[in-house]
Amino acid sequence: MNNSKKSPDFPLSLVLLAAMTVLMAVLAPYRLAFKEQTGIFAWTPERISWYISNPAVISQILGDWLTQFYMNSVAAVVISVLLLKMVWSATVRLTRLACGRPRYILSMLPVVVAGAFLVWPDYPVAGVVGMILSLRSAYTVAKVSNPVLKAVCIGLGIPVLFVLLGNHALLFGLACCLAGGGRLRNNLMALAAGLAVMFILAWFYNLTFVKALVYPAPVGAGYLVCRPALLMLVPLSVVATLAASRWNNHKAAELVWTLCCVAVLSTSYSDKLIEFSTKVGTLAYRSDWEAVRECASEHLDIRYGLFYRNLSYAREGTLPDNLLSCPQTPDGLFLETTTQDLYLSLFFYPDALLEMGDISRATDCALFGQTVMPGFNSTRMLRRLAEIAVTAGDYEVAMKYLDILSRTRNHRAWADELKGRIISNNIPDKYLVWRGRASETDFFFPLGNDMMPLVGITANRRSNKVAADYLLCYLLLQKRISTFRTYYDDLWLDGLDRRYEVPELYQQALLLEADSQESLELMVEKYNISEKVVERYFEFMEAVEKAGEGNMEGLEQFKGTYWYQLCL
Amino acid sequence: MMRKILYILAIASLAVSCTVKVGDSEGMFPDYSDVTIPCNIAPLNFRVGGAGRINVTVQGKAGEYRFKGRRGLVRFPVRRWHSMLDAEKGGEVQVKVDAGQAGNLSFSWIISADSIDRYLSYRLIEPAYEVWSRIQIEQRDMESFRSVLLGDNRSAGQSCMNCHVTNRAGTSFMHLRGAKGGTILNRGGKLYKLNTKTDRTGGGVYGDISADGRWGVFTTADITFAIHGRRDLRMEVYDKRSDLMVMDFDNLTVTDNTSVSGSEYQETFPCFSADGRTIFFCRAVHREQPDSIPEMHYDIAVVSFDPETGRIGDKAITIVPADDRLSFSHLKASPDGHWLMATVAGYGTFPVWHKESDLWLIDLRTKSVNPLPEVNAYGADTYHSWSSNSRWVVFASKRDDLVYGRPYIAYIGEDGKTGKPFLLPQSDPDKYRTMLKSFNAPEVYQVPEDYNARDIAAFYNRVESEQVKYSEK
Repeated sequence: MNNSKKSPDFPLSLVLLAAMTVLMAVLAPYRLAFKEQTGIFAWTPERISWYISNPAVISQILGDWLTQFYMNSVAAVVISVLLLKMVWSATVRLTRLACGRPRYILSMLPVVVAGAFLVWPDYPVAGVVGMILSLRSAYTVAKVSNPVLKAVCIGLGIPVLFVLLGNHALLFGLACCLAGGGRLRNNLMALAAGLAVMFILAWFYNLTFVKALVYPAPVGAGYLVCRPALLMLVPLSVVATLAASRWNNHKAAELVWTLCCVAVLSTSYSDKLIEFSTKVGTLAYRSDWEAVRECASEHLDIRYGLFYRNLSYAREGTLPDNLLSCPQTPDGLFLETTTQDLYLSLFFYPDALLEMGDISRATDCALFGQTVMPGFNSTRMLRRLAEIAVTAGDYEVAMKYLDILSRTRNHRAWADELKGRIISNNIPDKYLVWRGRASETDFFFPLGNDMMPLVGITANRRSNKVAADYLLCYLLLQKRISTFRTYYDDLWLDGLDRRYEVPELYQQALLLEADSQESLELMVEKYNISEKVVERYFEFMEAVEKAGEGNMEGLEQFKGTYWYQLCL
Repeated sequence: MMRKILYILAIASLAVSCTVKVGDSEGMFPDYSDVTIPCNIAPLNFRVGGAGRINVTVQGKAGEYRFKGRRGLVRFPVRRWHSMLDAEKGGEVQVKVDAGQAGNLSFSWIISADSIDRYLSYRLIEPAYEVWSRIQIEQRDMESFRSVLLGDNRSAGQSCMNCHVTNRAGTSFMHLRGAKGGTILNRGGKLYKLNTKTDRTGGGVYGDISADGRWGVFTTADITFAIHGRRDLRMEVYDKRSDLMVMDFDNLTVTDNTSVSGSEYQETFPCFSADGRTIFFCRAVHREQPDSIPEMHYDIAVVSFDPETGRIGDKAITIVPADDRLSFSHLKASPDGHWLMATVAGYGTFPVWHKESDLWLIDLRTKSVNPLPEVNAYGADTYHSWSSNSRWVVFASKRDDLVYGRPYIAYIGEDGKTGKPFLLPQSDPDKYRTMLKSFNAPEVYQVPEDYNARDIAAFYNRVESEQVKYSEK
């Protein structure tokens, strides 16, 4: 484009693009970085065959290749903005063909919509790549002056681009019709014919009508993107832009578009839950546990915040000491990992399961997480599977996962180092510690039950304090004090008390089992409950009595004790 | 200009990141040394770790054949390969591999005059515990590398698809689960969708088809699973209860008998004898599970069957008893009536996750048992299928990495002597190293299926199931 011919709103558009950069860098860096964990770019026979056996071959390959650089937040923002810039340039060119002059501001709409989707952690980069390539193709065809040739290009281009770029073939067809010359009726007929062939091709790919329209964007269980109709917004934003650019009253159109931009942007970028979840999960993935705790403590109202906060304490053996220093919910200890749930739980739960020594469920979670990803691959889950296999002592399968990771750009060094450690039988301590917590004797339990595996593991590994703490804390939160006491007797009185100081939380809970002065003395003696805890207990009982007479203030000082928790 | 430089840099970077590391481990993969192979098998392409250019010389009675490989990979041209096999059929060839700095290899291949059935079906599935994302049932031409999809759950409501079973003579079935599911029966090219559950019997699960294609024998089971707590074990699938039933494919009726149903025993994995007059099956005394899963040891039992009337005999007899260290499953009788092959695990009825699972061969004439030491390896060896000439079995083995099943082929001589099993050849053998799906339930047959995944999708989505009726015999 020649700068001398640019309209006055060109600089304004650049400002908007810069604003997108700031938005991404400030509001969504972890959402972008998380993309790298949900896919893989490894040049393996299986991946090649997967690319070929699905539509969108080119956009998938290029998109996956670019995604590997998203591991770094800065690179993620830079690449995203460059891609959006390309979307913008391509749309501007098409608007010039559509209405005779470039429409810079109007062309920001697809940029904003694509940018809003791009920050969804599982919206594939391939989606935007496909958009760019289809717009460039549409521009080339739209310039064709011969109307018959143009119609033929549209008709043939749609199925070809469906194979190469997926659902953006539809965008190509619509953009060709709206931009440039030719008879609209001929173009629309060619579009219809092309679409018919596209859907026949989709049938050969075993894709349903809806999946063909949104491919390669993910549609399936466990995804954040659960409404396929929403995904059509991205290509439709270009179509709407081109249609509006032909509308003479462009000021009104631009006003509407600006409002649309603001609405879409604010909806997508204001989702702090996902940004926080991907942040805390990524920090844990990088084993930066100090940062995990700090980050998690700021958002205890979000389940992954509480979950990672508790996990960070459990790893140090101080979960009971810190359990009640913040409000707890059932999600705080265990995560739901059903198909209806977010896949983030599948990504995050193995972090805790491995610490507990629950190898079986960690494997299940990681396999499940791997399975629900686009392309059935996730670098994060592959790394987890490799680590689980090393922990379990299944080195053959660990080598398989590591071989695949060795073919990736970002994980090669990690994988090669671990392979070397396996070959030299010098297993890193972290895995040996996890292995030391896992059960050596067998027992059975159903999936979806968090307590049974912990009971089995702690029965077999008497020194597994992480699992013991999770089990006992879970029972306390469930207010199952008698059951708590049974397991406490089994776990703490039979080993752990000799190695660790009995947490005050447990002492407080045990006192509740005393139903008389005599039994209280016996409890104190049996469980070696400290004088300080007993004194506090009597003070609490007094406060409860006063509370019964209407004086509730006295109870406030017992916040953080189990007795107070029980009263809630 | 700047843009062009950027493009060049991007393409160069893509090329660099696409570079494949060749040969991470030493030696030949797959291990095709000293194996007996069928005279019609696809080229045994292999990779030599750490090698660059490779020269392969095959010396046989009919001549010498030279092949070349690049970047550590030997890909035999399909036509030249088959010419070689035809010329050397029934003999032994010496193979010399010159892999340069990676060293030289020397081994032999016995090219059996007995061919293997041309088609192999298997299910491709992630080895997850309870979920699946994409399940495909694929039919592979074993004389080449071509394959077609028989089933794809993407177009069948993401439902689970079960094993494809055939009688090697035009009758086959597969189960589709999900809201619109049913048993897809193929009889001579005509497809049926059946609801095999009646008010007297449960729906069909594991099954076999008689040689004439009229009868099917099925397990009806309430299958569930539990997770192992021990760190190196995975999942245990078990039947809360299980019985057998026989289905008449001509009249779409099912029948059973107290000899193979009821609460005393749990019966499963039935198969017909070659003449169709006997049903072999596994059974164990019923116990409450999952607590007693390790105590579930399945014997091999038989019951008579009348192929004229479809009546199951009144008395079942144990022919190979289990003991407290083993349990039988996956019975398959050889088409020549000589052998019965079974999977043997430590306990239970689902050996796929049992690393100790092996294949055993039972001589039906002498009742002697051969534990097939040359065929078995550490890692589950399960779910075999006989070639129609009874000289080959294909089975799923997890010997390579203990998690992902791979199709292995083994020779079984007339005298029961076996050959070293070898991996189903692929155009690029690296596929096995990087593929994260299991090859599940392999089944070999001579005649290709005349339907494909789209037909199955159409059946799943548009055709109502025909209700099978119970018939007293």
